[in-house]
Amino acid sequence: MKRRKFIKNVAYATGASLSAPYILPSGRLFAATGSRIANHVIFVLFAGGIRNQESVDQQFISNQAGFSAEGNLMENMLSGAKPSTAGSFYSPWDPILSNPLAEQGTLFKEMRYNIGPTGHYNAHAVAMTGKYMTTGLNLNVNPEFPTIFELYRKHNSPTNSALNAWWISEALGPYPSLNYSRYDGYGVNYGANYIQPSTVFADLGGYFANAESYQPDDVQRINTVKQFLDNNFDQVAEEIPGIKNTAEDRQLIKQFLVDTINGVVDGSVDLAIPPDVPLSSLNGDLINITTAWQILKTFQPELMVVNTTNLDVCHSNFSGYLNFLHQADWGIGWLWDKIQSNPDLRDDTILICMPEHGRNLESNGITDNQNGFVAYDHTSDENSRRLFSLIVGPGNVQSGQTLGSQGEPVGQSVDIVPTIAHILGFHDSIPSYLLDGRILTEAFI
Amino acid sequence: MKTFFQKCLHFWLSILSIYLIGCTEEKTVIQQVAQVTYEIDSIDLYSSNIDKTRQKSDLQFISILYSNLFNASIPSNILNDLSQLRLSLGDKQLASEMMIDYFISNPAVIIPTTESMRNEPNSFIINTYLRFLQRAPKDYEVYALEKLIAENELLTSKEVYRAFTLSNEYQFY
Repeated sequence: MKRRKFIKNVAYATGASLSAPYILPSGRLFAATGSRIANHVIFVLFAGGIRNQESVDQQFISNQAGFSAEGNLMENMLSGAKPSTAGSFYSPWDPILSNPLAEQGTLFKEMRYNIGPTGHYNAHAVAMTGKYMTTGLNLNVNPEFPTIFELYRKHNSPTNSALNAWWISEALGPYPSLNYSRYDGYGVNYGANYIQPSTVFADLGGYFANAESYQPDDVQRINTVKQFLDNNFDQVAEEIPGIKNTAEDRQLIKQFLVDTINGVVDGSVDLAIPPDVPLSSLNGDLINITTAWQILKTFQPELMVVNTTNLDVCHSNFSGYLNFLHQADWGIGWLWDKIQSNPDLRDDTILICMPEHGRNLESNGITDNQNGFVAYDHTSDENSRRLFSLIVGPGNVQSGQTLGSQGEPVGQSVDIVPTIAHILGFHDSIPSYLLDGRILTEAFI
Repeated sequence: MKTFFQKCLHFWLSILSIYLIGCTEEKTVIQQVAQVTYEIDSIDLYSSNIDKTRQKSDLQFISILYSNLFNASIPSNILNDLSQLRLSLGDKQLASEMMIDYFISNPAVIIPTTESMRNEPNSFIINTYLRFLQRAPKDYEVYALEKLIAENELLTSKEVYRAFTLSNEYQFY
């Protein structure tokens, strides 16, 4: 009898353990199917076109004629001492992280952007869809293949609202169209919330700061009238481009926007800038990173892509490029520090950083006024296809690991999307023809 | 054999008849178009919302919204700013709502008081349809909205305006 009871109990326990959801460090539950490595992924497209020479190779200005100084401009992301002559050529900010991200995760020191033109939008699209595009730039058109947001919202189980997927872009132009694709069966219904913070919070925030606000009861009364009007009209305004949040989520986002705009004015918003640095140094990249944190702590989305672009001044201003590179690194360190201060996100968030493409080996001959340094374009030469990537996270990410060399690169631009899908547990649900790359399994234990 | 004078007379009579015919037709067309004088502008009215088949573009939506709420053309700098704000948010419905809320909070906006709406709901409803939807409401629409206003004691004129500007019909022309 005792034996029978024992077997019965074991059977119940086994069944329960198989059907029970996993519990993550944050205490959140998720279904056992498609196990996850973490519940939050932040992909920083460290963009604008960064050469490996000035970033991971730490060559600083040694490629400028007559200079030999080397050193690490990115002390928050990479290990290595800053250039001894740093202050002469850019304004160094003390690192915010005592332990650089490379030591807390895996650095893919040499990756490749193998196919297609090294244009900003095209390379953004490749990094965010996991598909190389050879058909042209198609500016101002939604990408051809599903973005990571659509893959996440369509294939993740359970399905999550757009409040869980955010695309935060430093610039307008073609970038707003990267929150969903034109691909049949995906598209706008699976897109991400898009925001361009420089306009919404800095330049034109005043328009929304004092907007009339409505309580849920007010909204209900308004919707009653709207519903009546809509019932008497055959057309549905579904063709309005752009994603659609539910009425409740829209209200939450609206409140967030108003609160953030007012918080910027009254000084209650944490800004991604060192306290001893003048506010005028808060550039577009750092406004973007500030907003990324505001969204993270407010909505705790599962997937966020945020970019930087300011260092594209390198087309004509190499000194400015060094400054922006250094400041964007500080911003990423600040963001990681903020995440570590939040108990819900700290042990449950993986950060991935990667430039969208590099820059040419040969200069374009344009010199800047500050130091007379020569500038670099990005016109698809081999050097502009060189990339690096950093994957940092809790215990299940390999720490202190560096992979790849110029002769033996490891990983490609198109590998980030499958890697994010792997982290969030829905990779196996994605049709394989939608992904050109592979999971960067080397980064995980 | 016509004289030169007869030829000339015939020519000018032909020209005059063409002109008169043309004028008559134009007059008829003009008379067929229903018009209403609304504050400073004269606008054409739709006889039915069935005729509204095209969706307003972003620029059309913003500039018409401004005109409807302020009875004035939108200044170009505000139109540029708001167009950029609309581009800066992925959810265009959210952007529209925020613009409407911004306009409605502006002291210069022209909105009847809630008291006047409740005192004269019939004319409030007709005027609101004319103002935003550019058509006269059907009898049942007036009846149903009057009922809605009467039954919802907390409903304000601002809220009714917000509902009209958020309606599907307002997105079309």
